[in-house]
Amino acid sequence: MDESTFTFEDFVALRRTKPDEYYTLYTQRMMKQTFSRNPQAFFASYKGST
Amino acid sequence: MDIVELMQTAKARLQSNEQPLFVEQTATIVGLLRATGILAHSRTSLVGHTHNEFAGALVLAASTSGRFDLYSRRQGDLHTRGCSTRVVAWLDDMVSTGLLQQKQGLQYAKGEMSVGDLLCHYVEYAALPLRTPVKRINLAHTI
Repeated sequence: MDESTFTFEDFVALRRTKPDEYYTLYTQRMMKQTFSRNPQAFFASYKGST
Repeated sequence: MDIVELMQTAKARLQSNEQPLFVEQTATIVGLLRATGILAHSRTSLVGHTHNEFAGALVLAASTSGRFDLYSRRQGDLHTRGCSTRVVAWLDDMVSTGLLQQKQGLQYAKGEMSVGDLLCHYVEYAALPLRTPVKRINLAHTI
């Protein structure tokens, strides 16, 4: 997984396709970190302000 | 509608396990709330069901009128009604991060609140793939 380019949409897809991988503590922490780094890029499909 | 009633409705819907769309939307909103740091990602086996009920209540609010109420911030009232006392703190964090809007412009959760655009967008986003009809191939023509 490339942490720098991951978006929330990727996480939604990951939960559907590989739930075991999604529910790990590593993935959950990474989700939090990628959001705090760049919220605008993290919510890629949302066009409004975050 | 009251957030406690919404959580009870969400709990019943999740337990019935008959609405895959609602379960999908709830799981997506739980992911969103964990990413934004509002819900904790540790000890999810213990408190995950409460997180799901809370997210389910938000999904119900977003997919109906987009509004809900927190009648009392008193922890004792919430506990008496069988609701988690952490709900007030979660709603406070959501208001401060802009995921919810308080009607009177307060920076904490009280009274009537409306669901923000980001939350509404991802409730809709979670429903998109499930509404796509499955394309089936007629095997008789391929063989």
